Amino acid sequence: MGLEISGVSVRFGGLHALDDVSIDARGGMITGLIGPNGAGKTTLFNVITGVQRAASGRVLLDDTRIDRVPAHRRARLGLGRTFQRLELFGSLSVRENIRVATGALPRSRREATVNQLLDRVGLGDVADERADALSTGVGRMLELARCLAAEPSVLLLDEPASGQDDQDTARFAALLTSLAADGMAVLLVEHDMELVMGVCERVHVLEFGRLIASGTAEEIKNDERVRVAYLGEEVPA
Amino acid sequence: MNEFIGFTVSGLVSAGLYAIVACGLTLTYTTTGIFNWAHGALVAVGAFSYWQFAVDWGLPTPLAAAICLLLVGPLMGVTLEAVIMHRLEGTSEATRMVVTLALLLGVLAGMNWIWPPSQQRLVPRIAGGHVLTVLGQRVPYSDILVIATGLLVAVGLRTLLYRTRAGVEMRATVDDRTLATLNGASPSRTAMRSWAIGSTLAVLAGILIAPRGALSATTLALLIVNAYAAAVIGRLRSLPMTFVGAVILGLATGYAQGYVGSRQDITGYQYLVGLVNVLPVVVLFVALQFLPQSRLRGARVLRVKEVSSRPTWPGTLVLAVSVVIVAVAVAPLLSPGDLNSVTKVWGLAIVALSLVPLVGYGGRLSVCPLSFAAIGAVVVSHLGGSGNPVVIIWAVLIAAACGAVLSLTVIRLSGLYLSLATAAFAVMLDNWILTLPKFTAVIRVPFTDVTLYRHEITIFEGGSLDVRRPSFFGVHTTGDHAFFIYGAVVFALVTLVVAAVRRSDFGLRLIALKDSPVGYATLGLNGRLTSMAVFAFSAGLAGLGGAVYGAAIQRPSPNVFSFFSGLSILLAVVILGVNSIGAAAAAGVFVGGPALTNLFPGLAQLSSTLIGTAGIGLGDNPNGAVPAEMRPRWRPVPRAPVVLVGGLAAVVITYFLTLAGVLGNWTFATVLVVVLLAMPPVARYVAEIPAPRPVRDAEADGLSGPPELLGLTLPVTSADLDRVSREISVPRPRPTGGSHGT
Repeated sequence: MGLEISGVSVRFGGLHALDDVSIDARGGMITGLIGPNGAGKTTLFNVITGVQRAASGRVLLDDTRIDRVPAHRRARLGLGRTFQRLELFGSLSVRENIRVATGALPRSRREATVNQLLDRVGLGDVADERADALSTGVGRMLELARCLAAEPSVLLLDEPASGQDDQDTARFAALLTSLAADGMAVLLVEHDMELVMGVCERVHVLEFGRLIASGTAEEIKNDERVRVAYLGEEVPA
Repeated sequence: MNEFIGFTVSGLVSAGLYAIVACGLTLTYTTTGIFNWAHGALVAVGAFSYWQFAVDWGLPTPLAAAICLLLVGPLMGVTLEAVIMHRLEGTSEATRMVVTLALLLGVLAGMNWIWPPSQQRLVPRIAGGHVLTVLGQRVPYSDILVIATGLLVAVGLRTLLYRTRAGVEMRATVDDRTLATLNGASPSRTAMRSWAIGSTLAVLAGILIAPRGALSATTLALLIVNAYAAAVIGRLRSLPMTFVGAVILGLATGYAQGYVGSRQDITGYQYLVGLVNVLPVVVLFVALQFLPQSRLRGARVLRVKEVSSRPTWPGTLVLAVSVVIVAVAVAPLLSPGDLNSVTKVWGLAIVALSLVPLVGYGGRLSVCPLSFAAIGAVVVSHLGGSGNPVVIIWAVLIAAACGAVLSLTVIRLSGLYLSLATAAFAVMLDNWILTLPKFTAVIRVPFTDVTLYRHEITIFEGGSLDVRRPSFFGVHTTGDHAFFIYGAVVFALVTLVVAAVRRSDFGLRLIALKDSPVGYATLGLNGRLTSMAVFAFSAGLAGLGGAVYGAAIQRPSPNVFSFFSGLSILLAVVILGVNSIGAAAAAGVFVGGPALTNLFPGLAQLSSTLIGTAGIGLGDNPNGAVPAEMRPRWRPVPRAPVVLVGGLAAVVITYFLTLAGVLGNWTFATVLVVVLLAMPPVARYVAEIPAPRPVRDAEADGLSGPPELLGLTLPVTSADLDRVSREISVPRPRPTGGSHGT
C-alpha cells in the first residue's frame, strides 16, 4: 500500500523535466526525495497530484491507477500535498483554512477535527489570524494541518522545513514520525539534509530529471553519484 | 459571381476595420498587460472628433484627419497613461478590468454630453465617389483605403514590436518590468508610447468607420466588441494571427450579411437576421472555447488584500430590518411620480446583490448580470399572468439553470477570458435572443413522429413584456406604495440568504477557490462544480432581481436589460465594495434611484458619468467605498450611544414633522444628510477615537512604501519591522527602552 510511480516522463519543449522516473513511498514509512534545484522534484509532485500531465508513465495510489484522474479526485482517494511556494487561502483565517479542507468529512466531525489539528500543529494561538499575515514557517504548518484535515493516506511534502528555525524543524520531524507511525506514507522533498537523513528510511535522488540513486539514508550518504550531484565532487576513475 | 465578389469586398472592408481595432487592442494588452475595454469608446471619440473637425467646423478632410491622428489620438493615449493606467501597476486583473470598463462607461457618458445623441451626424466618404473596377465590381477608393490600412497596420505593428529597439523594450517591460528597467528601459516611457499608439489606432479606425453611417457613440463602442473576436483568435498576443482572425471574421460577416441579412425572402429570415448581426460575438464566444487549457493557477503574491469580512448575523439583521423600515417610512413622503420611478430600486439592488457571491466571494468577473435578470422577467411575464407569486420561484430556477448552462461553457475560463465570454453572452442575448419573434420548440423521438415536448415560446414579442405585480394571500402589490415595500422585503430576505452563504462552508470554499485554485483542488474539492454552483446561485438571484425589476417597470423592453445597463450595476457594486452586502443596496439606490436626475434634470448622463469617474479611481482603492471608507468612519458611532440616539431622534422627529406637513421633503432630506454626515465625527470626538485612515495599497501590501526606499527616503515604521520579522521567520526583539533605529 502507498504510492508507486513508474516510468514517468515530462517534457517542456525540448527539455526533459522528468525522464523515466520510477519511485515508491510505502505506508508507515517516510521516504525522502532529494536533488539539486531544477532536478524535477516539484514537477514530479505536480504529476502525482494531477496538477500537471505526464507524457508517459503510471501513478498508482494504494494499487489503483490514478494518472488519468482529475486532481481533486486524486485528493479524495487519499493523496495530500503541501507546496514549495505556499498555497494558502490568504484572505481566510487559519481556522477557516483548515475548515475548508474538512469538506469530505461528516458535518458533525468538522469542528472537532479543526480544533484537534490546531492543537496538533501548534496553531491554536493564531487560529483567528488571516493566513496571509503568517510567517513562512507558520504558514507551512498551516498547510500541513490543512492537508491532514482531508485525512490522506499518502502525504507529499514539498520543502516543508524551509522558513522554519531549528526548534520548529525538530518539532516538525517528531510530527512526521508520528504520522508515519499512524500508517501514513510520507514522501518528503527537502534540502535540509539533516532532517532527511534523520527521519527517512528510504531516499530517492533526482538529478536533471533522472533518478540517479535509491536506497537507505546511509546508502545514499555514501553514494558517489549523489556526492557528485550535490557537492560537485569528481568520481574517482 | 459579381454578387460573391461584392460580398467578399464588403467582408474585406470589415476585416480591415477589425484588424486596425484588434491590433491596437492587442498592442496595448501585450505591452502594458491591461485589456482596454474602453478601446471601442476611443474609436467612437475618433469618429466624433473627425466629424467635429471635418463637418461641423468645415476643415479640409486631410487637415481634419491629420489633427485627429497626430493630436487627438496621441494626446488621448498619453493622458490615459498619465492619469489612469499608471496607477494600475500591481493591482489585480479584476481591478484593471473594472477600471477600463468604467472608462468605457465614463467616456460614453461624456460623449453623450458633448455630442447629444438626438442630433444626426453624417460624414462624407473619403475620396468622394471615386471607384475602381475589380473583376467587374465597382469598389470605392474609400473601401480600398480601409483594406490597405488594415494590412499596413498589422505589418507595421509586427515590425515595430519585433524589429525595432522600442518594440523589444515594450515587450521586455511587460515580461519583467524590473529586469527591463535594470537593462536601461524606461517602463513609463514605453507604457506612454504603447497607449499613444493604441489610441491613435483607435482614432484611425474611428475616421475610417465614420463615413459608414450615422454616428452613434454606443453603437460604435458595441460594434467594436465584435473586433475582440479577432484579438482572441490571435490569443491577444500574435499580431499576424489577429490579422487572420480579422479576415475570417470580416468575410464571415460579409457573406452572412449578403446571403442572409439582406434577403427577407429566405426561410427563417426573422430568426436568422439577429444571428447575422451578432455573428462576430458568436465567433468570440466559440474562439474562447478553443483557447489552450491553462494549468491550475496557484495563489499569487497579493499586493492588494481584499477585505472580505464575514457578515455577522446582528449586522445583517440590522441592515435587513433597516431596509424595510426605511422603505415603509419613505414611501408616504414620495410623490406618486417619484414613488413609481423609485420602485425599480429593489430589483436592481437584488441584481447587484447577485454579484456579491459571484464576483466578490468567488472572484469571477461576469459582466452579464442583467441577462439573467431579463430571463427572470420573461419567465414571470409569461407564467405569472394573474400575479401568481409561485412563478417567482420558477424565475429563480430557470435563471439559475441558464446560469449553470452558461457556466458549463465558460467553466475553464477565468479572469479576462471569462469576462469576455460573459460579455459575448450578454450581447448575443441583447441583440438576438431577446429580439426573436414567437417560435415553437418541439422535441421528437428521432426517426418517428412521436412528440415528447411542444411549447410555443415568446420572449419579448418584438416589443415589451407585460409583467404583473404579485399578490400574496389576498394582499396585492399592484399599487406603487405596496410594491415598493414588497421590493424592500424581498431585498431584505435576499441579504439574509447571501449572508448565510458567506457564513457557510460553501462561502468559505468560494473564497478559497478564488485565493488558490491549485490549493483547492489538492484538498479534494471540485473547483468546477463550485464555480458552476456559484454561477447558478448568482444567476438565480439575478433572475429574482429581474422578476422584481420587471414588475416594478410593468412593461419592460429589452433595452432596460442591455449590456451597458448591466455594466452600470456591476461597476456601481464594485466601486462601493463587491464583498459587501450593504454596498449592493447602495448600488441599487444609486443606479435605479431618481434622486440625481431629479436634482439635475438637464444632466441625464450624470449617474453614468459619476460611476465611470469613480470606477476609474478604483486603482487607488480596490476594496470599494463601503468597506474601506464608510465602515471605518461609522465604526465609532455605536460606541457613542448618545450620538447614535440623538441622531436617530433628530431624524425621527423631522420625519414625523414632514409626515404631518409641517416641514417639506427638502427640509427632511437636508436634515437627514446633515445628521448622517455629522454623526461619525461627533461620535469620534465624544468617544475620543482618532480619525480612521482609509486602507491604501501600500498598507495592504504590508509595508508603508517600496522596500528599497525604506530607511533611505521613507521612515521604517513599527509595522514594517513586524512584517519583515514575519517574512524572515525571526521573532522581533522587544524594544528595551530606546527608540528603533532606521
